[in-house]
Amino acid sequence: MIRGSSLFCMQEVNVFFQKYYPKMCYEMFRRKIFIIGFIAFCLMSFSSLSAGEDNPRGLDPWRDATYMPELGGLVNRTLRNQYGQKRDLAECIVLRRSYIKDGKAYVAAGGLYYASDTSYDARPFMRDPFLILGEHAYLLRLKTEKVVKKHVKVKVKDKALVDPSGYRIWYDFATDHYEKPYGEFAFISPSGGWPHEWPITTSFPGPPEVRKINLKSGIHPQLRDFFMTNAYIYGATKLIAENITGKEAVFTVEYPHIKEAIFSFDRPYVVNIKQETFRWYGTKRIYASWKKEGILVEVRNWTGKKVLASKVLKPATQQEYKVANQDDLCLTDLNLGIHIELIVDPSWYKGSDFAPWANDVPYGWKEGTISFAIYDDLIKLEDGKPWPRDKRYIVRLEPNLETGMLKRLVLENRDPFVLSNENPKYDGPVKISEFWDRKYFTVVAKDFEKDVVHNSYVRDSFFRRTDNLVLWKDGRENIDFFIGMSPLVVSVMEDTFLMRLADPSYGVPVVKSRFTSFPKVIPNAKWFAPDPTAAFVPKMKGFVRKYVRNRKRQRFVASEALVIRRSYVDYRKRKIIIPPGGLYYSTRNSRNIRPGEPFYFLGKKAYLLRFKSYLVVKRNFRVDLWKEMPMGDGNPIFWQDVPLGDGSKAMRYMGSKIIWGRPVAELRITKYSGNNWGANILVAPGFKSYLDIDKGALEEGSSCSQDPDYFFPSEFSEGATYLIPKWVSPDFVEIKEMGTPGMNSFTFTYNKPRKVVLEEGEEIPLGKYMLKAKHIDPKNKQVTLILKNTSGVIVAQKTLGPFDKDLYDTLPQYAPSQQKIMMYYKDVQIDVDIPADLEKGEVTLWLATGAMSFERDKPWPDDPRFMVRPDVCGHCYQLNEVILDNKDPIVLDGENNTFTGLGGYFKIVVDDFDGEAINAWHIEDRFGRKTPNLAQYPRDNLDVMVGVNGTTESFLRGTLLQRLAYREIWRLSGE
Amino acid sequence: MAGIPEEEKKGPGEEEVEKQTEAQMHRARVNDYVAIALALGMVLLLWFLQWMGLY
Amino acid sequence: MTKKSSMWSTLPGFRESLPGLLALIIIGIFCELPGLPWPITVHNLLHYIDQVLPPIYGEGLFTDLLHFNYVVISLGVGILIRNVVGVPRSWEKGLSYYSVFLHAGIIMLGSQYLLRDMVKLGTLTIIIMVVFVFGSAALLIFLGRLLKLNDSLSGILAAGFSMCGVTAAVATAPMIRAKSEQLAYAIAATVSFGIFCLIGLPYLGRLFGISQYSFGVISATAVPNSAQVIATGYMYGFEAGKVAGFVNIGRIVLIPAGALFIYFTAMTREVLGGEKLNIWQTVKERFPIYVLGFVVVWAANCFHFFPKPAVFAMNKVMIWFFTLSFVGLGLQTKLSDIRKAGIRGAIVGYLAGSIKLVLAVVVIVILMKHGYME
Repeated sequence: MIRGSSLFCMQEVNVFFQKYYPKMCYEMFRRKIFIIGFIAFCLMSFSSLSAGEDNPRGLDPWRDATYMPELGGLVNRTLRNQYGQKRDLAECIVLRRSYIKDGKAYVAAGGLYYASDTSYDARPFMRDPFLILGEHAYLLRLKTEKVVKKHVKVKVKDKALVDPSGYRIWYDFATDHYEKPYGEFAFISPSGGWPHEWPITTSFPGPPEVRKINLKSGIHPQLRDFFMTNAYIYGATKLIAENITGKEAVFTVEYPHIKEAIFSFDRPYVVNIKQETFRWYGTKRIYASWKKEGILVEVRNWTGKKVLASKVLKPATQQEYKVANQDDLCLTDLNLGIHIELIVDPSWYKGSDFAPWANDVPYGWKEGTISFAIYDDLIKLEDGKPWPRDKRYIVRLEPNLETGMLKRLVLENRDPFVLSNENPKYDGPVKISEFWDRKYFTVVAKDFEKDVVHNSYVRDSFFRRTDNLVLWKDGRENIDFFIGMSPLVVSVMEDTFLMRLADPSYGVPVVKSRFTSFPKVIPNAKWFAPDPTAAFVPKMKGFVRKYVRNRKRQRFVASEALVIRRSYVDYRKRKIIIPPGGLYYSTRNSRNIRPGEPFYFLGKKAYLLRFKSYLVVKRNFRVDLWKEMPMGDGNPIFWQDVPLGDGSKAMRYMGSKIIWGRPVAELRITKYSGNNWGANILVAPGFKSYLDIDKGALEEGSSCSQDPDYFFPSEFSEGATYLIPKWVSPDFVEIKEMGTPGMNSFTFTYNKPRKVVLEEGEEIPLGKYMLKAKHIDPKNKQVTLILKNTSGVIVAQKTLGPFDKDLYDTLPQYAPSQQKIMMYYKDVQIDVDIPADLEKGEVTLWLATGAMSFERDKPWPDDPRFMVRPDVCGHCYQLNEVILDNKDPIVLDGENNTFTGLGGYFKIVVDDFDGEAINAWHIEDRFGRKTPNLAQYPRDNLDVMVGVNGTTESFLRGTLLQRLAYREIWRLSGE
Repeated sequence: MAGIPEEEKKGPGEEEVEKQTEAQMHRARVNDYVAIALALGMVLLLWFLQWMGLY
Repeated sequence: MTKKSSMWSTLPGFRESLPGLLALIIIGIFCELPGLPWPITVHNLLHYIDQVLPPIYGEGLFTDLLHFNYVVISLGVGILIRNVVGVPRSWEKGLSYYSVFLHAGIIMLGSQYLLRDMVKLGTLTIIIMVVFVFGSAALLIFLGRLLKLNDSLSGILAAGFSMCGVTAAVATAPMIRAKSEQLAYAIAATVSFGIFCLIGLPYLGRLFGISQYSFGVISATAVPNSAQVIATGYMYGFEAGKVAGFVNIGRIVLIPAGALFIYFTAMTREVLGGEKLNIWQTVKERFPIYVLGFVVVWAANCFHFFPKPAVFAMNKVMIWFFTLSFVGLGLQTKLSDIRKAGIRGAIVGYLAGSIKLVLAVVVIVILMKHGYME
């Protein structure tokens, strides 16, 4: 769900959105979604459909599918397992890829599914909770295997099937470095969920090469090498590239597959064992006797004469590698309906949500306790087999691709079905319940016309229903939907989220703030994101969003945005405060800006001429697991970001987990803007790693093994950023060496550079100077240029080139190569047009005047209240984003209620503030256009996002679930 | 009630009626005092607890 | 001294009022007291039924369209129990405490209104709101007199129809000494009138080609209950629903002023016509002093004495008070009494409501034609 490096090198271009956005208005928008969305999607997906395939598994619902956060019967619950670890459980119902023809809605097999999701995964022997059609269940056993698929071919933008069950590889987009391709890929489960996007290439050295770097702490020139793996290793999943071009990729894939899972619908009966005698369990006696190799557990009948089941067991403990020895650790008899584990020290249970029915141990008593944990009400589910209560549905057990353990239970329709006016209902699977096995939900679609439907909804098992899922009067051409507050929506709706959130039909949703006695106060807002409930204004005329073309006629979207973050109201002083760095203007392109490329700066088209970027290395430091350490009132007082190098970025240890007994760390670089750098820095030394990939069999097919082979990177590198860990623990990571780019200054001009062709000896005016091609040397592929001032004195001279293979192999990104094709003096700059053909004795140049240079962390000359913060790409050293942010806190109140920034480029106006609640405020752009009231419901901060660019886009993606939900609430009611 | 003439209703024991209404008026007054005490007390308490930072 | 002690002695003792108070609390819990983790409540039942029935423009039938909020639910449950099962005598003393809760609730209601909420609406809308609230209140009282309606009844109808229905009626009721059956009557009248608006107003809107914004203003002017205002707006369009919601806040803010206006207008006839007493003296003698408490809290809130978290807590406590008091009120209300109030009250209310509605449409269409309104 975390979009890979897309945020960076090749900003994910939502073609749809960009193309249709500017003209979007209420009705047009709807029609557009209708017609163009449908056509575009058909076209896009016909590549897969035309291959005679109509398998919706692994795909997402159509673009105009309705999202509804709530249906009474769908459960969202946070439960803890027996070790007190939290598991957020969520359910959802999804219908995808349906279509309407001649008054009937057609849904393919696998088109309708119910999914129950856990926040991380569920493993045996942990009593990990799970929801099965609304009932609490506990996972007891798993049978897993490894699947290998070879030579899977995927075209760019396509989602190619890996397996008919619905696993797919998505080649999201291709970009390049040194003009060699690399792509962003995702491995999609049948439900449509995927964890991250993974950058993979076959053109560059891999991460193990970074071990050779070894640089001192401090600032270094750009490295020539660009690192990227050809095999993404993600725990139990491997994506090994055979060949990747900008158009197509071929992979060998290895991924975990869960064959079978056994659940219990009941809490365990926990009772400490008595050696050589028995405990009663209902009408059965459970005996325990000491043996050399473990404890012999016998289930006997009520007389104790007949042994019903017996096994020598070892006590199960928290170490998860014991999952591999499931057979030694539990006695499971499906005929008797009984599952027995031996657990050590039941005082663990105190952290659990569900205390066992009986716990024969006094609280806190720890010594020498081994207890039976006896489960009944068992159910065995097999992947790909029918749901036991309803043959119309097939069970899919989706693994967490990292751990191979159970992540998601999916029940999908086995056969295609058709809904029509005569037959408007299709029942969901029948749930297993203590008192009434009933269908869990019903999908209803009626009022069909020829090609559209007007009424469609879902009822839960207690007859509660959703609102009509057809949101507009002219009806809809499919009945797709996603219902439920499940995080699955974030990856499933990835393709369309921006279009959904920027849909202007419902205005700008403003959410009521939850007023608190303790506003969150921080001294500096850098590295922080805006309030998750901040309003999002998708379009404002004053903030540009336009296409630009570079010298190669490649097209990008240049867009500006305004962000306010971490503002708060000091209600005792009756002031609104925006901390330093809390208000920023951001401009960026859909790809990083390379020298010569245009972008928009404060509303004017600007041309980037050059910049100074470098590598910042930091050695031997330690990052603590990131927490906002809250005070009792929930106010964060401490967080453990480690600033990197020049202080514009920070390292954050986002998540730690234990896999197979070893710690695995997930780190992120937090950018100045508050976004995470696209790449997910996964490091876990001690596992098998890149170098072991080719070892071991990678045979096509599946192999049954309880002992999954885990592969994790022992060092990280992606593009120019690398990290070599010394020690990874669940609480901190010690880093041996880490490098990431930084940027000191950048130069641009508002004057469009002009293209000229010069012959040797030719002289032309350039600004206040005269430029002369002194010597053109086709043999050595070099050009010597001189620059003279008005009095004819030579002020600059430079020999550019040689324009050889080595140069072309490292352009456009490598700084020394960039220097070889440019010459500059004061406010003028001359670039050689690449590729340079000197054979005719002439050279093509780009001439720029009016160059202005700006340095990082220096005040913006036109408005010194703002600081310049250029942001560099962590992959390629190019300019990613320019931020201008406030140096000092901005304080507003009832009297002093306006803040005009950047020479009137925008204006913040607080119209109504009562000292505590902001009741009305808006932003005006340079044309005087106003946003609607951004506090139609009272707000306790000024956080806002205006405009769509990569920065706001990833903030939106991060809060997608809440935003989709409150859009819906906003649509449906006044509050 | 509809059948009883107006006069009869007031006639006997007019004093008693008077008393009753006086008692009712007193009760209303007392109700007001109690309500004011209750509500203002509650308001002040909630304000004070917030001021203390308890919620 | 003696007088004082006798005054306090009118308060029933703890032991004799215990059964009634307990009954109030227990029934209250089943009606729903916010913050109490008790799921089996009438409110949840209605909410469940709303979820089963198809929503109408995203609105539930009971909670939104029929405006079954804490007042209506607790009053309804009380009346139901009284008229179906009956109420034992031993509860009576305890039930008489309902007015304490009612007054306490009204005092706390003051903490929920901020005059400055009006500012957002813009001058024109404020003028329309003020004129229509006070104008329709006056009109209703006038019509009430014309049709010889009881003063309290016309007062409470005025509150219900001129401001935002149930809440306004509740706030005004004790001031003008309206009886429980009159209150129930007024609530029934406003809610039913609201349903007619819900169905009829969008047709009128389309007939006159009223813009979304103006329709929002019209529904916030003409429809009595808040939830119905928003629902009516949505019937016309999304934008209208939004606008209706915001403009309605302006009318809610006027409740305190409106209640006082109705008190003085409705009660003056009795005073002037009946015994020809000095107004000031009457006011001094018969003015319900808890109103002072209300005014104090309201003023304190307008000067922003209470921070938001405290205001939210006060809202919860206020709902507790109201729920308890309306259960008590309901338990003392006989259906036959409501029936006795006759059809005349409803006619007056409907008449005034319709006049207001038509005027609102006319005024706003004129304003729209002349470009004063979007």
